[in-house]
Amino acid sequence: MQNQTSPSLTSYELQTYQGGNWKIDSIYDDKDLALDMGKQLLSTRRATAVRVVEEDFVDGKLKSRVIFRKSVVDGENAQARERKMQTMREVQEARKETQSRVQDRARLAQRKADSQSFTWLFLKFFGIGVFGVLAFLVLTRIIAHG
Amino acid sequence: MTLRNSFQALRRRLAPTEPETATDPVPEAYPGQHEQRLSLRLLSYWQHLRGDATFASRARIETEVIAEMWPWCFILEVPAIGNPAAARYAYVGPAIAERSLVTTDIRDPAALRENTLLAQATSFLAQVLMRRVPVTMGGSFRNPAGREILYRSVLLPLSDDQRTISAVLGAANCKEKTS
Repeated sequence: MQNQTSPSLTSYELQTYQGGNWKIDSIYDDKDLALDMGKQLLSTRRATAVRVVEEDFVDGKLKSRVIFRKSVVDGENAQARERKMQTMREVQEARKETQSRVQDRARLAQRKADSQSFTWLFLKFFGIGVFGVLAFLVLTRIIAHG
Repeated sequence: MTLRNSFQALRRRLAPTEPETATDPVPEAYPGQHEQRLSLRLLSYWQHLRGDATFASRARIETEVIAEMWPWCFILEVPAIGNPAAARYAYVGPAIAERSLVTTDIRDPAALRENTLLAQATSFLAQVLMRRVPVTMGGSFRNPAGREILYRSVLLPLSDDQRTISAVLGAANCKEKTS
């Protein structure tokens, strides 16, 4: 016997979230109407969250699936996430800038320190040299008159 | 200031909602009033009427607010729960009555021919009474003249005590299918 499938009966339930539960608001046989009404309920703040459930009755079995879901906080959450990302980017940029400035200052200080140490080294050697020459002259004088 | 200008200024002040220019939008009497589809428009009005309640009340219907839809509307009184056969028309708009080949004083849905707009529009009354929520359906039928008609209707439950559905507000419109 040929297996014949019975025709599909599809309806769309528009549900709103109230008091912790999903409640059926209205029923449609047209998906676009259900979606449009759901969006209108959200835009007019008649509902804070809506979903459209497609109910398909095929071969004596009822199959349901959510084809649309949205809440008024979805947009606000997305904005908050974007603001958070923006803040993190700004913080990272500020950190990079600070690090770069610190590095520049350190390099500058290092160079300064290097030049100062070179100067002291030179003065030391110069001083030692001058002292050595003076000591040599004094000694030779002492020996010459001795 | 001339007398004519004074009169026009006074008229504008008395009719603040009248648009000053052609581009000024008329404010909505209820959200969704500017929706083009009749079923969604009436559903939006029902949502506005019911506010935070479960059902809209028949006593709160203001026909002047939905004046452009009212000729396409009908009200079915439902005396007993779960018995759609006992429903009787309390009102049938002239536009829908004309397209259904009846007069506006029809009371018994059983007197309708099956292949008429009003009969098709109320064919899912039992579903509305059972589910206790608005339902909108569309479809097609061949009218007595043999023409294929596309229609869409909406049935909206009404209650005065927020428990018993005492009536159903409906509307339907149609157009001939062009091949």
